[in-house]
Amino acid sequence: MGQDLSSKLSNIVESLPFLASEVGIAALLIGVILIDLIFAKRNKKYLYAIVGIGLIGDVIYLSLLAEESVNKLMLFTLVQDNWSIKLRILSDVCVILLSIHLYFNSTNESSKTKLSGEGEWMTMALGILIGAHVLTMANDFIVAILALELMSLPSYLLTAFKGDKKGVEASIKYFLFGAVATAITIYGMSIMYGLTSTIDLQGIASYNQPFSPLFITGAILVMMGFVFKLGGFPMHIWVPDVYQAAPIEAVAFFSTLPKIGATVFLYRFLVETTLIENTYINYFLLSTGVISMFIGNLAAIFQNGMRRLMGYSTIANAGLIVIALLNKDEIAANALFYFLWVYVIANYAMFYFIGEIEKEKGTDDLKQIEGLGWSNSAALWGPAVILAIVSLIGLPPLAGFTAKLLIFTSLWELYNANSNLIYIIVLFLGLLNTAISLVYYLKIPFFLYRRNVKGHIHLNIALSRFIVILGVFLVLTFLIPSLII
Amino acid sequence: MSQLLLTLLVFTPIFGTLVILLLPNSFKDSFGKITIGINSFQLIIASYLMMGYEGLSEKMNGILSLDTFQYLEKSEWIVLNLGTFGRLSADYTLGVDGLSNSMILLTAIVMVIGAISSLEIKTKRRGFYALYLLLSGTIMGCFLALDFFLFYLFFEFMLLPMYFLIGIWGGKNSEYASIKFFIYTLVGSIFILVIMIALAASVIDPIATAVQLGLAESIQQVTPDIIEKVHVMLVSGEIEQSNLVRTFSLVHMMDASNYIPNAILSLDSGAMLFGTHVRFVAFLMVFIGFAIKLPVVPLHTWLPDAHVEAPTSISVVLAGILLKIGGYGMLRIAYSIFPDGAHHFAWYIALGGVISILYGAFVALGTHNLKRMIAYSSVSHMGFVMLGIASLTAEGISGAIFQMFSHGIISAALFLIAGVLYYRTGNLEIENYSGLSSKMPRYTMLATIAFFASLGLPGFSGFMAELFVFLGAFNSSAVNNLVPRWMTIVATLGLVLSAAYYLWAMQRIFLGKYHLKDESMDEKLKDLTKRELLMLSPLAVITLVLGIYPKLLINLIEGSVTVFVEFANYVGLDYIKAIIGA
Repeated sequence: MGQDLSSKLSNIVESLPFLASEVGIAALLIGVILIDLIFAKRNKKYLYAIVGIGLIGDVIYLSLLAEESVNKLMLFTLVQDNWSIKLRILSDVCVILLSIHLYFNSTNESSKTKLSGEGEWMTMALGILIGAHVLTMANDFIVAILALELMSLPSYLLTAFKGDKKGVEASIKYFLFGAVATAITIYGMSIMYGLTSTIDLQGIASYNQPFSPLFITGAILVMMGFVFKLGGFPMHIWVPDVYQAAPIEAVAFFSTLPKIGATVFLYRFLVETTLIENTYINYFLLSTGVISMFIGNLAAIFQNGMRRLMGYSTIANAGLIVIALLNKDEIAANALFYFLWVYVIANYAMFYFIGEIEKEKGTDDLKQIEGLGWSNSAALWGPAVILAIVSLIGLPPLAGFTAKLLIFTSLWELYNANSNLIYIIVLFLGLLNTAISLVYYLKIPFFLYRRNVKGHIHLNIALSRFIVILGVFLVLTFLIPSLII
Repeated sequence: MSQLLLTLLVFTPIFGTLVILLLPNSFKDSFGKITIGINSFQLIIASYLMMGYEGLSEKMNGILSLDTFQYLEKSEWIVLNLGTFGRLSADYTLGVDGLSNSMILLTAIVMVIGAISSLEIKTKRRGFYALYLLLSGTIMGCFLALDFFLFYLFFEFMLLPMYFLIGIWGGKNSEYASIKFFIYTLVGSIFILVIMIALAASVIDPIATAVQLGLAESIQQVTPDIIEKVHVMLVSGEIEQSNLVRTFSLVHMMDASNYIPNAILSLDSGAMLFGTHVRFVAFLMVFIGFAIKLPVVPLHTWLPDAHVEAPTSISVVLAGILLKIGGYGMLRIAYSIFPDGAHHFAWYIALGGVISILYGAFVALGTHNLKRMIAYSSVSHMGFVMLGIASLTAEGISGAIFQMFSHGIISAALFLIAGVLYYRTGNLEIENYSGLSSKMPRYTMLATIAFFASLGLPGFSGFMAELFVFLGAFNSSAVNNLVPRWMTIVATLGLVLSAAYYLWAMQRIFLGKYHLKDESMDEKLKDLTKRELLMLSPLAVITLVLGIYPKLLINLIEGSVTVFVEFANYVGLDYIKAIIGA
């Protein structure tokens, strides 16, 4: 017993250096709280800069870390592999983009939707970030559920951050749905634990196959909480409402970061437990993916507000992510990874734009952007937004195309491997959805350039230069995909 | 320098787009001139290339292997290491052969004419010219690409500028027309994309795989023997998955020995889909993808809408070049990669051609709008391309390519003719005009030339093209028994119909007593300006010259067509035997 304990302790101590990134972020979080407390009642925009620089440091640290070997940390509750390192970098990028967003939005004094509380924002964002980091490494149920909750709780607060009635309503809605989703997940975990009496993923894999129906049910319930984070069917109902009411910076953030963690855990869960080879799980993923795509794309056609439009687009993209999970080979992992990068960048570009329009016009109504593209201050906004949109549709020459190409290639490989026609049908339905999505995505550039400008519009030119960089990134990663993969 | 001519052809206009976007507003009036300049530069390069093209040299006919393409440019582009899946590689490969050379020349000519016609655009000029240049670059790229990925990139990329050009600068209903155009074409390209993915998953690059396996140091050192060895190893299954280099190269996809054994699209897979062999389904899907673009009845309904709404210069480009990408894609991709499917479905394809010819002509007969009439006549004329391609005879294929070139020139002229009227009065209803010949004699003369050229009067290029197609289609039943004789006979009815609607329109608009429904139009109707003459006369000259001396064009395409026809006939039959055997 004593021997056992000391070896466990030494494993924990040995693991600590591998968690330097998370420890660093936690230190940053505490630092932000302290600065916020000490220098009260002053403009604290520099907090965004501190967080941004700190996270850039973390990105550099993680990219130097990249190695092939798999490290089992903290008694094998965490796994550090190439995949988790790469996605932690992407998670950091999300928060960096958030702090840039907040920085720009607080510079503009005329802002109508100005947010106070730089410290609170950064604290909660860093909290979510730690959750996402842990989730990318999670190898057992307890850690996964903790990380999931760590990501969720600050999100509920951020939704209501403006303090208006709509925001509070959306926040309550988000909270209730989130709580239910978590409950379902925990319920599923308890079923699986009851059957296998273990909570780590490899242990579950060694459970007697073929899996019993109860076991499969448990696994599907476990996935629900993570599908909720992705915004996929049947856990998608919160998405449009929250997107409509939350502060725009929070929406951009929710639409990107939680998805990274959720995707990785789903992938790890399906592959490590070998559940992915189960037919019923396959059908569950297929139907969730396809229905999400159709719900998202068909509903988005009828939206007049850009926030809701992007909300439904999120649901459709969640469907695509779920479909990509079907293949367990490296090609699918690469496809997902590439897809997430492209999705984060394109989504952020869109939400920067929507936020800027709201600041200027006070609404996200599509009609308000009529002819804006021709105004001088929008000279760069227009092209940059078109790049982001074309990438979201998935047309060349933008990275969104390569992302979809990889996902569909992995689907074709599945068909090649086991000649099940269903994969081809899904491939077709996925591509058909690309065509459907065209109808609503193209509304935005079309409205931008349809008429001539009415009156004077002042969009932030400095921010538009930054968006152009994001757009160029999307082109570059199409031309040289090895920049990401 | 001559090594980079093709790249220059594609990327000069794309570079021009950036220049126009970045120039300050004070250059507002010279955007048009810059565009014309860049397109003329393209025309000069294209003509230079065609002068140097060795059409009669037997070794440089292209089609089958990369070394035989002229002006070839090849470099590695995207290589993705996908672990157990192996590598996925897309190359930057551009080249010219007899299938593409006439299209390149056509593109260069029509783009210059279109650019001159664009001077009529008065609003939002910066955006218009930027998109126009982008369009010219991507169209060139589409005709030059020898890598499926690269081809698809240009093929799709073309849609966006076109969407905006129709949607923003078009007529009242342009939002509907442009999105309809986009969705139709995108659905078509989705079919193509599926097969592109499938092919990339089934075909390897034997040269790169040899290097990957360590059989050769570099790509230059791979000899035919080594390639042979790779093929043998591939069949015996000695190569590990992760060492396979999967490729998008269109040329590698044509060689059955590059297919991974038992991959879905390989000859020996025996996989069935909807009751037919997968390869036939694949052919059909690619074919439909391009048939939407061509367009073939009943997939044509986007075309008249797009034409009626588009500004003149965009109509010119759309009818003159974009439709040809459909025909070119059929030859370069559908027929070259799946010659078995081409044989299998020849009867139906020919029928589709005949229906397009007759249906297009009948509807054109009943239209009241000049532009709509020309649009339907395009549908009818593209039917000849289908019929020629379906016959798989040297005459038929040459005729199809000839028809694409000739129709590109003639339809450009026709839409310019319509544009002249629209620019002056904003109205294209045929019944509004009568007896214009006395008021606008020069206009009448050029319109007559264009109308007669289009209806296939001997002496014009349209006649030669249709003659070749009929010869090929009629001979087919004796050569390879693909197109029954009755179809050719029925298709000739199309000639009569097109004579009917052109002559009738001619009579209504230009002949008789000068009369306008709306008298206020009278002062707006002036004869052709110098600019309009400058656009229309070269087109008239080209169609006349080609009508009298078709050898000018035939010399360019003949050699490659012979190779193509032999390949498609013999290899196609072999493939069919292999498929049935499997």
